[in-house]
Amino acid sequence: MTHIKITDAVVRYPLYSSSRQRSLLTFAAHKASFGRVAREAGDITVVQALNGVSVDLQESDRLALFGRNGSGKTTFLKMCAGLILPDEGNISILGSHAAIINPGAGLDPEKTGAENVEYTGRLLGVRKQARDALLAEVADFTELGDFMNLPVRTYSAGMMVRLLFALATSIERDIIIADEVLGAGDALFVEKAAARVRSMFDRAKVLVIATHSGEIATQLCNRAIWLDSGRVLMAGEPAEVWDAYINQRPPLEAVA
Amino acid sequence: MEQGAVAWRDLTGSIGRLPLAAWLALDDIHGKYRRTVLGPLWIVIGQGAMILGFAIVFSGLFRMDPATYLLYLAAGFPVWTLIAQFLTEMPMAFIGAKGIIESYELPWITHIWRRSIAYILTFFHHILILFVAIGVMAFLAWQGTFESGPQIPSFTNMLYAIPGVFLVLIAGTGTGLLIAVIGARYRDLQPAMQVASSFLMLLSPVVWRADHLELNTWIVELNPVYYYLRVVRDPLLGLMPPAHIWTVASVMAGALFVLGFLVFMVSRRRLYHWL
Repeated sequence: MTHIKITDAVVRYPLYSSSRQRSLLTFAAHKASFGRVAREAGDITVVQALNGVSVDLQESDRLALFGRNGSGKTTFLKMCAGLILPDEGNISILGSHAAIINPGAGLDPEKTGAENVEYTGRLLGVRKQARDALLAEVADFTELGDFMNLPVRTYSAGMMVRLLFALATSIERDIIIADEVLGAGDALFVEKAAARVRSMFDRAKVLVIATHSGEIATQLCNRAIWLDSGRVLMAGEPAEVWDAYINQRPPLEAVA
Repeated sequence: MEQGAVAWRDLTGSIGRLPLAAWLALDDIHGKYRRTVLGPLWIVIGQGAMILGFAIVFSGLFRMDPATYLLYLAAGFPVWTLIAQFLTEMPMAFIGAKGIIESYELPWITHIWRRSIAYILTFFHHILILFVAIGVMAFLAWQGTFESGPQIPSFTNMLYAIPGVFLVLIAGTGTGLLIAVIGARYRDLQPAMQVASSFLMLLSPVVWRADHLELNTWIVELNPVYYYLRVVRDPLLGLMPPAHIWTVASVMAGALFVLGFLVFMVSRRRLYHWL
């Protein structure tokens, strides 16, 4: 069983506009003076990123997220990945999951390509034998050859991207959560990359992606939601939702 | 509460992944030493020079036998360095792991264990200086240099340092979890802890001896560091810490661990936003 069940989720997060809001000393002065000193310490802006969102994703569901910048897409993805817990409402995530939000985290430029594969493999909980297979597969996909045994800092930007990409798409998880579909490298690489992304998405039981492309959404997904100011403005077939979104024409009941 | 369940799963998951934390800790140390060829050796030499300097000056001031005092320092400094690492470096534990937290499905507490284990491994490296010092003393005693030489600790007694180090690990991980949560919210915690730790070192019997303290004995009695210094240092010097030292160190380790976990639990919802 794999699912993501979200009911009436509300997420608020603090915005620290001044570094004094992140200071222990300022906080102590503020408390000791009963709020008379260092007023900004008690005056932290809170953003409501999600405002009552409900989604129920079952096995074989592929969800595309549309929405303008600041509509809550990233917060929604991070909630699906278990990073953010809702302030109100509930979330239940069943199944192993991976978020491709920050590819290349933990990549060490001092380590060789092969050592980085080993490191990433361990973080992913891949067993010894499978790690050897992963190394062979990454070496083959990236075509890095002898560079696999050189420190990553000696790589060109393109080589770095290929390695990052190969590692990010080697993940085997029930639930895959991705922010924008990775685009990378030279022209020849793009086709190979697209095929690899597809194959990873196909293996996943549940997929959630945020995208700015109607084409990707209709090809990869069977469901879509349109987020606006932290609310689901529309939910339905990807093509239908994309059409409404791109024309900025929400269904009438959502406006009312 | 959802938050409590998430935190509990995180803790149990992190214990299941202790081998991963240990591998990451080894890898961190390896990475740190890789940057310089002589790095690991220089750390030992640097510590040796400092301990020798302290032994020469302070043995005169404190009217102590220089050789005995030298062993005292060689055992005590690495223990203090271990404790200080927990206090001064843990504020960065969650902030520094943000990328990994976002990308991998790992318990967050694994990042605390990773650091704790790295500190313990560094301690095992630092403690080499004590074995060098013991070797030199044993050689000098054999040469007949001393009239009444320092007591050479027996290896069997030194093994009691292992449960002592374990207590430091538990207390340090609990404290580390607490500090890492607060450090994520308040970014000036790290410099604050650096100031606090140098002050704490003066208040702790690292350079001076607790039994020489005639006034204000509360300085050691109320100082948690004192108990952890003793459960590791005493065995390293071939002595057995009294039962009450073991008891206080154990009870406090359990309490600190629970406290760290509770703070993590109630802060878990906001913790990601602080990173």
